[in-house]
Amino acid sequence: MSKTCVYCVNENSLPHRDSGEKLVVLAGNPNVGKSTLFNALTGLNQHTGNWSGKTVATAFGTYTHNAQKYTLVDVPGCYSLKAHSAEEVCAGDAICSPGADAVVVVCDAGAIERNLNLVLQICEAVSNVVVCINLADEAAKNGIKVDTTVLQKELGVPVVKINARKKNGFEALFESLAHNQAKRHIAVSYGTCLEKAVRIVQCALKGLPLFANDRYIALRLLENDNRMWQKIERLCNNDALKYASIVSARHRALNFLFDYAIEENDISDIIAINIVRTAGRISRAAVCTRADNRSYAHKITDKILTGKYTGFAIMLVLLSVVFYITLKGANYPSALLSDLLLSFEVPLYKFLFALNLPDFVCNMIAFGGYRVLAWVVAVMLPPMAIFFPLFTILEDVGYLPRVAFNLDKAFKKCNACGKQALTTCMGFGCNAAAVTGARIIDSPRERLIAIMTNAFIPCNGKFPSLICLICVFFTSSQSPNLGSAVILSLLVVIGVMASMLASKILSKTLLKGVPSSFALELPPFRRAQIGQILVRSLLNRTIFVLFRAAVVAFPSGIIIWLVSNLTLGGEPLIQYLVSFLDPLGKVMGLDGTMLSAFLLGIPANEIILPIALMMYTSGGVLTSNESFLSIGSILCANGWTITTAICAVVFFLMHWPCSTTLMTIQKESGSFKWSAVSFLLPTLFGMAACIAINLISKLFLL
Amino acid sequence: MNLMQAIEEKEYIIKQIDTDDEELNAFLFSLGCYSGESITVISHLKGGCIVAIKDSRYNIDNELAQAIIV
Ligand SMILES: Nc1nc2c(ncn2[C@@H]2O[C@H](COP(=O)(O)OP(=O)(O)OP(=O)(O)O)[C@@H](O)[C@H]2O)c(=O)[nH]1
Ligand SMILES: [Mg+2]
Repeated sequence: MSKTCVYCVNENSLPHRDSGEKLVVLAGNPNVGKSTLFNALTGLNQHTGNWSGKTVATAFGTYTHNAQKYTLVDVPGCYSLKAHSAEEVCAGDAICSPGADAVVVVCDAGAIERNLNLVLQICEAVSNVVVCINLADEAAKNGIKVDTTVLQKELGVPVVKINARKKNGFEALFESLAHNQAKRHIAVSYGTCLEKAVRIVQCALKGLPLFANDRYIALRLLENDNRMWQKIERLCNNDALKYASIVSARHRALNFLFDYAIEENDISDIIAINIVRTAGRISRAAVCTRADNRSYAHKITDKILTGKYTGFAIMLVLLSVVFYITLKGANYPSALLSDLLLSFEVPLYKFLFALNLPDFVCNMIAFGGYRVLAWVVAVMLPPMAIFFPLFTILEDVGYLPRVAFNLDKAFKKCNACGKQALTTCMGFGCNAAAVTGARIIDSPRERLIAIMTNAFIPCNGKFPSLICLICVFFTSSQSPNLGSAVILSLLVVIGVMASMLASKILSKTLLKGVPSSFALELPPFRRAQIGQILVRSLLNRTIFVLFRAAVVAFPSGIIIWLVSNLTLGGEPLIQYLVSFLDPLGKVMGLDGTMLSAFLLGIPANEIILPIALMMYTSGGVLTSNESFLSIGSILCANGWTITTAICAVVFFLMHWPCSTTLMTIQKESGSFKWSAVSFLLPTLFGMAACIAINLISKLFLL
Repeated sequence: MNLMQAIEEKEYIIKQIDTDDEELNAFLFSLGCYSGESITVISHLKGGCIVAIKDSRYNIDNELAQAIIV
C-alpha cells in the first residue's frame, strides 16, 4: 500500500506566515464539523457534508482575534494517527507539523469515547492541544450530556464546548488558543515494562530536532512504524551513526521486553488497548447518557433506506423526484432566459456597429461569442442551479452513505471497492471533485478504478443537455413531465451500470486484484440547513456557471464563429474538420458537426450542445425564438432523427471526461498512461453503444 | 461464530478479531471494535452488514464481518 501523500502539508508546504502569526491545526474524527468550524472562523467556503471523508485535502485560512492573526488548517478527518489511507496520512502529517502553535481536536459529543482515542494519541504526539466538543445540540437530543470540567481535569488540556453551526462558544475557544502554553497533558501509561523500553529509545532520540514529542516517536519506532523510520532517517541525514544508535536502542528495548515475555508483535496491541481503556474510563466519568427512543426512529429509517428491496426502490424514486423538480423548475426560467438573452443579439450587434467597429468584429461578437454564451446561460444554468442544491440537501441529510451501502455489493462484484459508490455519488455533482474524492479509497488499485470510471457518471454539466434532448425528442408534450424524469433516471442508471462494467473490465485486465475490505461510518441523519444551502449553492452554482460561460463559452463561440466564417479554398475552415469526422459520425448515428462539437467542447460539457447549435446555425439558418422547440427545429432541419437523438444522448452519457477532470486525473494518478485510459475507456464504450444503436435502428426501423 | 451468523438486533460481545492485517486491526481498535466490547448487527445484506458499536453505526463488508468473532 503506497503511503506517500503528495498533496498535503509537510515541513515545506505550509503557507507563508508573518512573524507572530499563529498556526492552528483543526483535527478530529471524520464528520464532526471541522470544516464547518473552519468556515465559521475564516469565512471561507470549504465543502461540508454529512458523511465521513468529505474533506480529502488540507485547506488554509486566516482569521484575526484581538489583533492576533491566526492561520487555520483544515485537515481530513481520521480515526487514529495510525494512518490508514492517503488522506489520513495527510491529516497525521499536518497534526505533527513542526510549525503548529496549537492543535484543536474537534470531537463529536455523541461519540466521546471514540473521539477520545484520537485526543489521547494527539496529546501524546504534540504539546499544545485544545479539545473542542461540537455537536452537543445533537447529542443532547439523544440524551447524552458531556461534562467538560471532568474532561478538562482528566485530560489536562483546555476543553471547550462549541456549536460550529450556530457559531456558539467561540469566545472560550479563542481564549484558550490565545493563552495556550504547554501544559501537563495526560499520558496514557502502558505498564512498567513498556514504559522502560520507551525510555530506552527516547534517550537515543536526544539531540535530534524532533517534530513531535519524543515519547510519541519512541512508541512509533517500537511498533516499527515505517513512515516514522523514514522521517527519522531524514532527520539523521548524513549522521549514520545517530541512526544506527537509534536502531540499536530499539533492539535493546526489544530484548528487554522479551525478557518480560513481551514480543515485538504484542507492542501495538498493548498500546492500543491501553489507549482505548483510558478513553473508556474518561468517557464513563464525563458522559452521562439517558435512555432514549430517538435512535429507534433512526434505526427504522435506516432499515427502510438500506433494505433489500426498499433501498433500491427508494433510490430510484428519489432520483426521479429530484430530476422531476429539476426539469419542472428549470423549464420556465430557461425559456424566459433564452427569449430574453437572445433578443439582445441584434441590439448588441447594432450597438457594436455604432461604436464604429468593423462589421466583421461586430458579427463575430454578437452572433459568435454572445450567442453561445446566451445559450449556455439559458439552457444550462437553470437545471444546474436547481439540481446542485437538491443534491447538496441529500448529502447534508446523510443519504449518500446509505446509497453507498446499497451499491457496495454491486461494486464488490466488479472487484472494486465498496467506497467507490461514494465517488459515484459525488460524480453527479462534478467528475473532477469525485476524482479528488477518490482519496478516501485506501488501495491504489481500487482508487485508480474509481478514478477512471467516474466519467461514466453524468455530471451536473451533462444533465442540462440530456434534459434538453429528452424534452425535444422523447416527450410528446413540450413541457417536461414525469415521463422525462423517468427517462433521465434510466439514463443515469445506465451510466452507473456502464461504470460498473468498466470497473469490472479494468479489474480483469489492467488492474487485477481482489477487493479489500472496508468499514464506512453511517452518519446520523441531520436536518439539512435547507435555507442556507439553497441560497449558498444556488448562488455558487450561478456564479460558477456564469464564470465558465464567460471564460469558456464566449471564447469558444468566437472561435467557432471564426472557423465557420473564414474560408480556405472556398470552404469554411470548420468544414474540413466536419467532413473529416463525418464518416465516423455517420457510423455512430450522429454527424460530423456533432462530433466536432464534442471535440471542441472538451473544456466543459455544458458548451457542447450550444456549440453544435452554433455550428448548425452559422450556415444562415436562424430562428427568432429559441426555446426548446426551436432547438428541436434547428436540429431537425439539420437532419436529426430519433436515432440521432438517442445516439447523441448515449454519447453525451459516455464520452471523454472534460479537460478539468482529465487534468485532475493526471494529477491524482500521476501517470499519463492512466489519464489516457480514462480518456479512451468511456469514449470506446460510447462509440460502441452508438454504433450498435445505429445498426439496430437501420436494420429494424428502416 | 463470526458476525455473518449473528442475529440482528442482538447484542454480542466480541471475542476476538481474526485478522493478519495490522492496520485493519488498529483501525478497528480506534472505532472501539476489539475483544471484550459489545457489538450489535442492525441489518444483514448480501454484501455486508450494518453494525452498531457504541452509539455509532458502520457499514462493514463481509470479509470484515467474518474477521469479527463473537
Ligand atoms: N446539529 C449540528 N450539526 C453540525 C454542527 N457542526 C457541524 N454540523 C454538521 O455536521 C456535518 C459534518 O460537518 P463537516 O464540517 O463537513 O465535518 P468534517 O469534520 O469536516 O468532516 P470530514 O471532512 O469528513 O472529516 C455537516 O452536515 C454539518 O452541517 C453542530 O454544531 N450542530
Ligand atoms: Mg471536512
